[in-house]
Amino acid sequence: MGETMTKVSVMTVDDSAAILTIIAAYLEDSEFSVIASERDGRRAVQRFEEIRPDIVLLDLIMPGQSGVETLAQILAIDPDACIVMISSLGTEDAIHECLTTGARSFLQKPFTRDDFIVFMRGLGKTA
Amino acid sequence: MATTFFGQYLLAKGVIDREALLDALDRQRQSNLSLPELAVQQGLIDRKRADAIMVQYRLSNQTMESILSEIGGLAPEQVERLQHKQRSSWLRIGAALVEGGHLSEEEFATNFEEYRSMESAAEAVSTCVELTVFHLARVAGRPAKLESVGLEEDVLEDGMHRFSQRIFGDGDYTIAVDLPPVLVASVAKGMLGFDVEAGTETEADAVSEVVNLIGGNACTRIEQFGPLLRPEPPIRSAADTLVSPAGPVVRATVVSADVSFDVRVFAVADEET
Repeated sequence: MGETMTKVSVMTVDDSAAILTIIAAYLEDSEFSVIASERDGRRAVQRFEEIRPDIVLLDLIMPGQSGVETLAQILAIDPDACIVMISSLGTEDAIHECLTTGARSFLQKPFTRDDFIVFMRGLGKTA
Repeated sequence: MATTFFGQYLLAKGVIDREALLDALDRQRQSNLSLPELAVQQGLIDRKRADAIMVQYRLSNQTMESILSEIGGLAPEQVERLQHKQRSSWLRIGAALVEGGHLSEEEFATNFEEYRSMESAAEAVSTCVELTVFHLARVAGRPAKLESVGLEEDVLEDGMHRFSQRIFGDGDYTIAVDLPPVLVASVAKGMLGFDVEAGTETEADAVSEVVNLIGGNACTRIEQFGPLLRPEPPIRSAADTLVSPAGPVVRATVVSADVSFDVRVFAVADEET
């Protein structure tokens, strides 16, 4: 990718620093750019309001404010926000709750880099 | 985890004695006829042919349906009718115990419910162990195989690091992995894709994330046979802060190349949840 090309901005939210590191590594040298990473739901909502990323990758199970609560609060700020829930929990109940709350999609861990990039492109967001 | 036969469960629990179980098994033997025996009873084949069918069934890999057709000369519709008759008249062990007066209908219902719940819990524990071994081996890039599984009191052995996650809802389980430092390093490196300094938060966080992955995937898999569970965030424990649920725990010892590690699954009994 050329330096001047505008990238699709991404904010990642996960209590695990490991996952934030992995996602950032997966998106390196792609058309996506991680512009913010947060490990706490409340902080993520504030950060979203400030930076308005194109895509939010949001963990479902987090200590304190849950992923679904965070999802609802971000959608209250911007109903068109493109938010993808990421979790190792792929039960029907969990997926249904996320999608009915307004998540654009749901991605179950684990996933490979290639699968992840294909998934991100499938979201249809362009800068 | 081995599946326990309902009769064995009742015997082990002291609800019935050995004589009652033998009587019920005898009732089953008399009542539950094989397909060739049913065919004889209905006049479709003679006894000699039924014996020939049973011999062929024991000696070959053929299905009973194909042997009934080939040796017994029965049409597919006749075989289907026999199977239906067999299913509808099959005497189960619980019903045989009730029939023999060894168990009341009420005792049967209560105990069967408990048995089903126990079987479901055993399957959940087994799923947790299987997924843990699979994911740790995958992430660490090392082979791993189960060496032993047993019920034991909980301890965290010297030099091991415990990472655990509680999953609960229709049941309450905690999956704990006790890893030696060399495996902590392999798992962290496998997860992040680069070497991580030993004993750092980054290393612990990477391994915790693998445990989180196991817990979430276990909930997903367990949902397929009934219980709905949700994971709590994973935690890391040291020997001096270790808090184990009361009672025994399933301990699976796993060998990975030149080292071994433990997977422990705590299943809290229903009345304690």
